[in-house]
Amino acid sequence: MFQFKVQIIAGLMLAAFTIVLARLAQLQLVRGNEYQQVRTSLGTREHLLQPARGEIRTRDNMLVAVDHASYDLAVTPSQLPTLTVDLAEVELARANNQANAARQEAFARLTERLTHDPWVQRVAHETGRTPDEVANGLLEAFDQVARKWKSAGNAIPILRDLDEATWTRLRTWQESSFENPALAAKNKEIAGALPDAKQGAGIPGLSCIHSVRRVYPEKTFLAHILGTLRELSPEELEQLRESGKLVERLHDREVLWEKLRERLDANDAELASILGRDPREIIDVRDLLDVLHALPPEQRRQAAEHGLSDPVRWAERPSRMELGEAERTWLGDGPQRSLTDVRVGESGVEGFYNQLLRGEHALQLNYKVPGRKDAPALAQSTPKPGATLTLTIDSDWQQACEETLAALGKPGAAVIMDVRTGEILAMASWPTFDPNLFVPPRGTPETSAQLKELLSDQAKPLMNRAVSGQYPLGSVMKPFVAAVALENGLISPNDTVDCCGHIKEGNTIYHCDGKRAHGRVDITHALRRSCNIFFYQLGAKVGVERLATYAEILGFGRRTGLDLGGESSGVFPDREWREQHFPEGSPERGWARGKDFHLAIGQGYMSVTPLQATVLMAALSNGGFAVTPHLRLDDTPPAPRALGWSEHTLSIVREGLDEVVSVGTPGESGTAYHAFSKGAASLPIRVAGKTGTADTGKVNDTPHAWFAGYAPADKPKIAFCFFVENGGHGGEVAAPLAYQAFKRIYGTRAEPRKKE
Amino acid sequence: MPSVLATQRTGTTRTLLLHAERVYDRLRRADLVLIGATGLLLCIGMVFVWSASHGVPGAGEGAFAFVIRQLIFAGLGFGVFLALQRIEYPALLRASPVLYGIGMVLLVGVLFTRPVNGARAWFDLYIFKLQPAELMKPALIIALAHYLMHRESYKRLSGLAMPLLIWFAPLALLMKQPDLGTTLTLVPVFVAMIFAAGARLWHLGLMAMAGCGGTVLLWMSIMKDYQKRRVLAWLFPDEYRLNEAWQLLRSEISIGSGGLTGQGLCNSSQSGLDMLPEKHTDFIFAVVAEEGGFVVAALVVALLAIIVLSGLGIAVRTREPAGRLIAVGISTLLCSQVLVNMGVALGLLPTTGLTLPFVSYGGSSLLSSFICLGILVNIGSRQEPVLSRDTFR
Repeated sequence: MFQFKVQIIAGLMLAAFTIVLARLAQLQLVRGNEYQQVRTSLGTREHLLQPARGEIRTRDNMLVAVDHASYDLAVTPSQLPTLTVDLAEVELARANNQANAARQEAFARLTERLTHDPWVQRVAHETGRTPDEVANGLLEAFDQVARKWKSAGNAIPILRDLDEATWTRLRTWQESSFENPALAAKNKEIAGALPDAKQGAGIPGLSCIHSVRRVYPEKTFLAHILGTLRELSPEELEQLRESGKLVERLHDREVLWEKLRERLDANDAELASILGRDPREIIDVRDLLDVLHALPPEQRRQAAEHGLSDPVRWAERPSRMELGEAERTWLGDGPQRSLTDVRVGESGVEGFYNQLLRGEHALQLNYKVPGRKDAPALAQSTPKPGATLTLTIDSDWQQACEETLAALGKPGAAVIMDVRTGEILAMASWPTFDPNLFVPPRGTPETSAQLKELLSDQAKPLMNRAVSGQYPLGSVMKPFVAAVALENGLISPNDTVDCCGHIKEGNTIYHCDGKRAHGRVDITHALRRSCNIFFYQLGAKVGVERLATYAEILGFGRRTGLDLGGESSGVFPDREWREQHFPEGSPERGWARGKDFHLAIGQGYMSVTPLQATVLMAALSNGGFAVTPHLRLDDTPPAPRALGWSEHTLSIVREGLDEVVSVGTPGESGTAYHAFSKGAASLPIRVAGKTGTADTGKVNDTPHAWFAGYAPADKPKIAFCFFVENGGHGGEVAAPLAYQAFKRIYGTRAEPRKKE
Repeated sequence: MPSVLATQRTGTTRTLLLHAERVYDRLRRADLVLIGATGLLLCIGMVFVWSASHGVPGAGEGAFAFVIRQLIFAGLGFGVFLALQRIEYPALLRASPVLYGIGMVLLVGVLFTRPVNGARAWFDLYIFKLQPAELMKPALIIALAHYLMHRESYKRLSGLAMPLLIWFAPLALLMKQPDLGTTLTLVPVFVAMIFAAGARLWHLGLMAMAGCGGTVLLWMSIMKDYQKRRVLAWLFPDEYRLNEAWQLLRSEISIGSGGLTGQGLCNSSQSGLDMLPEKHTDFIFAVVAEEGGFVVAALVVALLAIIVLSGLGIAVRTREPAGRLIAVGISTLLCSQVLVNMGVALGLLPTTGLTLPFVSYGGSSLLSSFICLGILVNIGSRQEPVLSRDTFR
């Protein structure tokens, strides 16, 4: 009886073992091939291939911004050995201490403990950094995971900018995250052959990230035009990710995936005809296996040819689904991806031409075979390096302007522009800065103090005074008034005014500069000597509305449209502006003769940027066309806007501007004559221009000094503007500055270089 | 009858030799198929534990860390196995209340430890982690056999109350840990022992119904969310595709891609604990099947079947009532553990954390398996005078 019972039990057990064996045979023998196909697909990693950011060069091919190879050390928290501080503690410190101060204290304690961790000390030893630095980086990485910005399966950089020797040494025993073909090619160019990344086992959880760093080799040169780069903060990244804009801003990830999908979708129709169902409905591995299993061998082969079990499709799979916590830890956020380039242009042409410079990211799908770093790439699109941006800047001229400004040592700006095309040949602003300081990662121990100083400097070195500063134009306004008056027949070249040094209007007495009397002056004479009395009367005759018509075409009170961020519009007090800025019925809203007086000599409400002054001078010298200034060499700017000034009008104004520099009759000399006469012989060309001394509106302020004009005087090619903030008298400060610059410019070359 | 070797010596040496002689004497009569199958299985287990763990990040002590520990435990286990051959198993029966008591105390004590992976199942002894559930399994079987051996009371329904209590007390503690896997394997053990002892079939049927009710109760009250999800994932894999069916799917793909001859040692796609957690313990069969293919996997299944059936064979050959009950209990225990473990790996059952006897990495599990083997061999090799015909009807 007992024996029988045991036999029953044995029979049941045997049946169960048979079921197990049958299932084993089913999986391994019957469907083994199908499972082998999916096996590979589940082990894929998605890598983002970062393109090299485009170079920036000047028209004479000087390299002013370039990507250099950079080497970062990263940790993958999920693979780290047990440390003295673990992720849970960081999460706890973040969650429990809502108060900022308490949290910081908690973090400081954790950092302190980490500093003594043997792992941290070993890493510090191997990299030649302090344990403090390593501990800080590590804690920051943990914090990012705690905030769910990064998954614990991601490689998060903790030490930036390892030197190449260290990196090469580490790489021999470290897992490198991936190799970037585009960069490799790039770097072969820059620094010779890039060592290829083959590695063995090392400190667990560590990996080297080969990344790039923006370098501005000429330091402060062209700083205001180049602008700065910044790194998107994790918060911004998260926001962008949530809003779906991350891809657009960083790299065209979605687009690339779309391309991959399109490649697959093209097959879908054919697959559908083979399968008799829409292959896109297959979203599960089990499902796929069932479909494959049901197919006759011939059709199965066809389906495979059309990519039914294409790993790319299956690598896509996790990204379509919502992942649980566990999968996130294993897979990273979706397919594991490394976002290495989170650099965006912040200002300057780096910002304006960010789209052009950043290039296109590419995706690479790799088999994920742990222990094998030479896993073959499954699919890959090629990263497109950023385009090279060639600037209209002539490096020699630019240098001349920057150095003369720096030699003067006062805040100011200089602009030189081609009168016909609007190409900016030089544009300088002083004081200046080194854009290298802003290159991410910012605030390394060495640079953070400098950066702080730069940001708090009262002289505002970050401001590009040539386009962002708005100042009263002063007497540089006079040629404009003269041209408008002549064009409208309100004055003839022979009309004269007797200047006795002052004029009374209403209850106010308006003075000529220095309260000197100029005697009887005609229009060219008035320009040469910058007679206020003449222009008060002329301004009153022309009136603000007539000036406004031309000011609008010329672009006063509007941005010039330069391809550079941060431009100010300036102010021209036309009716529209007054209505916007003053309440109905206010005396300011209307207009008084006295205001015409002020406007005619560039004072009062009016303000312009030095670039706008340059555009005015270009219009006077190119036959009356308002050009749109631009910085990108191959750019076709909008067609110049005609002001409708006749050649007769312009020749009279130009005669006056010529005399400003060239007439040296004692007592009647041009306002800039002395500045240029000292070494006039050394300039191979004649310069024409107009000085300006603009009251700032504050009683005790030194006025702004202007000198704007064009050269050569007889056959104008370039327009320029030199401006010194609170510099003093235009003829005494700005004109000598221009002379110094031109001496250097024409000492080298009479014309800007052609594009090389 | 001391041998020549022993008689010529005195003192400790003599005692030791006498012990060795007794053990040898017993092993000569032991079931060599059972021992041989176990030895082969152990060797295969070692190879695949090495293969599964050599690339585990954070292992610290190098590629052989897990294998060396496993070898040490195998050595310890073998020592326990030999020691068990020195005694007669009725001694175990006499000690069973004490063993059972110690097991219960440990099971209660373990509930006060710090949870690891959400379960309070281990005493951290620094050298290794002791899992009292593993030691409780043989103790429970012996205690049940001890209670059932001379009684007839279980032939009445009310008489089943006491064995049910003996069985359910540790089970309740296991569920509290929670350790659903061990709990489940102990269900067939109880049923098989009661059945073999002679309980009436309709009583068993009644208990099965009560068991179903208990399961519902289990589901409603005791089972943790993650355990429920595992069951649901097994029942409805599509809905729990990535979350809970993940392990199942991975294991299934892993096994499937092994094909007939396998991918070769250390070549499993699942290498690295990040991909398939617990693969050197609970999912070792997936590794065996992927790397060794159907050939090795089927061999492992066959060896385990041989071990289990040899155990039943011992039960049949044994006339002493407690001995055969123990043999049935241990065979059923090993069998259900094997079936549940493989069933999980093959996607036939929901995920539970359960080791594969003699193959999986794990000290307590290996020790427990060796104890079971030792008792089985002890029972099988006991010489007993035939005094009467089979009276145990």
